[in-house]
Amino acid sequence: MVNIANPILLVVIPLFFTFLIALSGSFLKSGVKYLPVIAFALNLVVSLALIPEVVKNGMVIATTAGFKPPFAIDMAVDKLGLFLSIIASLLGFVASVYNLFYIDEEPQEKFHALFTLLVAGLTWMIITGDIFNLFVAFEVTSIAAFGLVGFHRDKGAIEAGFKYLVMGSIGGSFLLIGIIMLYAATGTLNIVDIAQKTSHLTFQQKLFPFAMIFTGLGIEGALFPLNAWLPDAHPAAPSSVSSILSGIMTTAAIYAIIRLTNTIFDFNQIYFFLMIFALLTLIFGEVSAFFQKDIKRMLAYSTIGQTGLFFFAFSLNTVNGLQGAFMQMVNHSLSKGMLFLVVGGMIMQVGSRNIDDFAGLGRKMKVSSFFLAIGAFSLMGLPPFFGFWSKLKIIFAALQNANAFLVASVVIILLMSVVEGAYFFKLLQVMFFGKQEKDVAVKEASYGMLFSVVVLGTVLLIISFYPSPVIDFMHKAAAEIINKNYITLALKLGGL
Amino acid sequence: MIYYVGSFLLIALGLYAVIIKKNLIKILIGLDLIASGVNLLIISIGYVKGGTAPIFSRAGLKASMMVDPIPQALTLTAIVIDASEMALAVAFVVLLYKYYGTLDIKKIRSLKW
Repeated sequence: MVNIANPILLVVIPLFFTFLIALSGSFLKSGVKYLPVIAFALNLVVSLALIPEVVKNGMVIATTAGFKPPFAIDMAVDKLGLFLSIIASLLGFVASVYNLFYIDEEPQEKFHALFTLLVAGLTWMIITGDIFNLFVAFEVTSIAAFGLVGFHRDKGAIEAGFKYLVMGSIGGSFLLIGIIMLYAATGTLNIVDIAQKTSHLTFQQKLFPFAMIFTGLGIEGALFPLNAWLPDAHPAAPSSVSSILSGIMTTAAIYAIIRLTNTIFDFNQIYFFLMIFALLTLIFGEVSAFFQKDIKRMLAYSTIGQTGLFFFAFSLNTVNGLQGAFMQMVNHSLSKGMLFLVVGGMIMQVGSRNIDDFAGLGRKMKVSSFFLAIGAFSLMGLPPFFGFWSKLKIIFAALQNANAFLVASVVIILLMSVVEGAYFFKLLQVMFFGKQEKDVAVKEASYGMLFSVVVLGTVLLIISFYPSPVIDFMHKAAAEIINKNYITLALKLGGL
Repeated sequence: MIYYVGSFLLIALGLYAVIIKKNLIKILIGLDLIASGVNLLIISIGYVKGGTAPIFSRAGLKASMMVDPIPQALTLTAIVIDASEMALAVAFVVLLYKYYGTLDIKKIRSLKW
């Protein structure tokens, strides 16, 4: 019997289907749209099958090509990588179901191939244990994303795609410079091996590669001065793609920063500086979101704000802070992924992205509006929802060893939550109580599209009402990161 | 040493072109310069003066006399990635030119830059 709990499958399955879709597109015609669904259903099964293994051993390592690391490339999944890969597979699955009913524009096979490639690259980025592979996965993701952002091929989409391409490829080059500097200093590309050899480097020797890697990943992760592409690219992409871009891509980039900062670089001097970046990102995102008229643009700016929030929690560099960051990542991925899917269905019905045209939708699209409200409440952090627990955790973590600066940042976070609440309530108020002036025939989105939304919404509701297993798991994951168990476990299990 | 200086000059030149130039094609050339600079940097890190290819082709060759093969493999990967990125970028530029009839970035402003 084949052991399916193998992290390599998480990358190999979608990559195989990518090429299958591209090759079979000419004779399967529109039948190719079912292939991504199969790919991500398999991926979801594999990532769920990894849970018992990871819980038992702490980590699952798979090596390639029959060599031992550091000579071979390895895939290492620990608790942090596990939950992110589950979320990536889940979002990939529901978004590909959504695509069955959403994408009717040609060339379909190219869209589905790129979409599968995008999620494959993101999963790859999350589970790789090799720093050059991280770069390759980053570029695979970016190139797929550039293509998908420009998929509609209208003026706005092409321009957004080009802008993203210019920034993304500069980011890729910076990341590569950082990686090659680490290689020059240590002579190896395996993350664990590098981590053991960087411990004797001085702060100055580590700072330059760190700055380069941080800039490169920061462009993808939309940190404040580097995020000019995001508010254009996310709205221009088809909604299912925006859901992946917002839900996983920024999270995956921040994941890579967390992973590398905690295993390889291991500085303490840098966190204050990261905190400032995070707060600026938070303020910029939320305040800009408040002034948007275009609903997808508003959600895109809100993504920037959320990224700032969990990056702030990470930069506290405590177990509780990281736990809050991971919880917020889960909350953000599920609710923002769902919001983009809901909004995609609404835009299809209304034919406009302007918030004012959404007036009265709450009465006509009851199910969609209900789940939009749940996603919005969870992002705001209203009490029964998961967002409340994660925000509470972040605030408690910040106040744990409070100094004046941290108290000030908590005040900023609370203020920004109010701003966030203001624009989401404005949207909900227009939707539920606004008067529709033009009498347009609006009906509920199709069942297939609702299915994806309902799946994500149900998962969000389940973890909202039974948060303790998730919270415990995140606590263990955070403790592993802080205690550098990644290195010890990898050494024990033959990752090196 | 000269290689390091050269590669960082190339990268700086490319960044300058991307940030300052207003012509889309010149921006693409800038991106390509950055990529070439990075590739040169990678190669020069693995370079050993007077070294041979990393193959034990004759007796008496020691590992210290060979150039490091890993950076070369990395460069090949990076070149492939850059090529596909460039192809996509050119496709974008062709479409932009079709829509706007110009390559001047200041005239292409349906979005806020």
